[in-house]
Amino acid sequence: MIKNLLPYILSFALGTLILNLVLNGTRFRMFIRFVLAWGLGLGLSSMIAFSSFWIFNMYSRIYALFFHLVLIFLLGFHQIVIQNKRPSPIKRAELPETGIFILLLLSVGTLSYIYGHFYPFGGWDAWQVWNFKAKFLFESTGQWRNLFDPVLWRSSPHYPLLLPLINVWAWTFAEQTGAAGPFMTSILFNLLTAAIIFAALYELTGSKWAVAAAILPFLNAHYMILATAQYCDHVLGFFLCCAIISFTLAMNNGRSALFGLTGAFLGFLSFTKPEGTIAAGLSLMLFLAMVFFQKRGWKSACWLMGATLVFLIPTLIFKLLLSPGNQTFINGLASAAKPSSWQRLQIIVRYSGMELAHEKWAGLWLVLLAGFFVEIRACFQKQFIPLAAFLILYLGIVLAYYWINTYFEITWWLSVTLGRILISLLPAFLIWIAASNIPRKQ
Amino acid sequence: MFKKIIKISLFLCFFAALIVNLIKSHQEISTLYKKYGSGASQFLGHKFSGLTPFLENSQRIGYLTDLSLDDRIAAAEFAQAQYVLAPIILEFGNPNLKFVLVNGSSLNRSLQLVKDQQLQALKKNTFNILLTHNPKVP
Repeated sequence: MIKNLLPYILSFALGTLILNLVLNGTRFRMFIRFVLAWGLGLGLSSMIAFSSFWIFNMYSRIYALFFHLVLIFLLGFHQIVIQNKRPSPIKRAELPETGIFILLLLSVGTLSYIYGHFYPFGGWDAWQVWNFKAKFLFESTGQWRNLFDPVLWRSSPHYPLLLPLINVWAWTFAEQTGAAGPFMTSILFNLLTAAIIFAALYELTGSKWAVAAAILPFLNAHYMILATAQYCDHVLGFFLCCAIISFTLAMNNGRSALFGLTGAFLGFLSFTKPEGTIAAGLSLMLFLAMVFFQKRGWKSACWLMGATLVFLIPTLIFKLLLSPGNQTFINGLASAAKPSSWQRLQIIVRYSGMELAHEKWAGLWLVLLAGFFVEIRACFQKQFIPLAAFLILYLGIVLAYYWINTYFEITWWLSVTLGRILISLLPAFLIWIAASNIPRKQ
Repeated sequence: MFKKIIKISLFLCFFAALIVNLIKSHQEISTLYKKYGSGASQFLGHKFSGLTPFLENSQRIGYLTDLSLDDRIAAAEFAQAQYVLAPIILEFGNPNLKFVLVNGSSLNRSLQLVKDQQLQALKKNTFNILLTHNPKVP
């Protein structure tokens, strides 16, 4: 058991130490620090695993482990020797909040385990796409580039590799590629998603009611089945929240390093799925516009741009050197055989409305929409403008893509994918609406 | 006052949603328990485990079946076979590789496919999956 947990713990240690280094002097509550550190660590672990394929032409456990341990040792040494006399960067959390946070994680962890153990190998996309890629990469001895052979089109070889690489790292101490790694990764991302919803709301409002919003998605059966199916949608949703929250904190605190952290999360987000790449690009444009519009200066913009470019490198390498391109795309605007018709657009709009009101969501989206209309002015206050603009524009892009790409029959395509897009957006929506509705405590 | 009523209504709706979700979640878990018991769902990929040692480090093998991949079970079997045998690539419907897996709807159908494609059966596992060799490929 501990053997399976160790890679995640090392990722957390690495993320914590890097966060302590770059955010030295910035005081945050423990919860937000905890969750951003783990997200940062997991993203970095996937990038270290990715670099192994370029250096050794395969996954080298020794290299990945050595790289982690050296970084942890150097950063830990730096922290003990140089930073130990500086004030603690963590705002002490009060005991009731810490208890609530732990109870939340225990509840979400238990529910995730109960749902997940029915499908230890995950759902359809887990063994066709994500876990297949992880196993392929882990067990390859030089032929890892075969993974991008167009003959594997059913496994979407154009999908980026963040989740498979996290699973590869999770198997570092395992004798073989068992179901335990992806199973635990999926539970961990559920825990981190609950943690970031709570931590973000608590950071923004100071209210303990944050816990009620944070538990809501995990009580929804449809959300839980897909979030424990070992897919990548909740991973995308988590990194999207990390990027948005770290940017909001950066704008509120004015610390340049937080813009750098935002850039790192945008890089990870772009490496999750093609939708993640679009989300990262859109977020970057909106964030840069906000930085200039609110006159935060060149230093903040440079941190944001610089970090994004650095952490975008794996995605760029993947897109330029590995990805065979999307083989399931027909441009309906240019195709006479399969045009983007008015009827197709009508189906998309009607289906989207029906999806939000579907009984599988048990009123969850309807409550969020009600919250939006009740506090519509608060939803568009200054600190939420990037989040609001992102969600509206991103949904517009998604609907336009459904209309333009006519490769698939639209009703079937919407039925298998729209729910997952909503799952990836749900945590961000929840943070936005709940933060606008929960009264702030001074 | 009106705003306060609206806020209280929203608060009640939110808690109603929490309770409804909790009840539905409980129902879903009960259904899953009835379906699978306390154990896990069947993974079709087990049918293909244990074949790798016979494939002589081949990077690609063929996969033949008389079923269409429009059939959900047939598609799941192919996808899970691909997962279990990774990093070997399975080429669906390609008999022109050194090794070819034959997974017919029945053993007779599999043997017919072997005969039609002039393959040589090497091994049959307990799930009637045939590992065959194409003598035309060195």
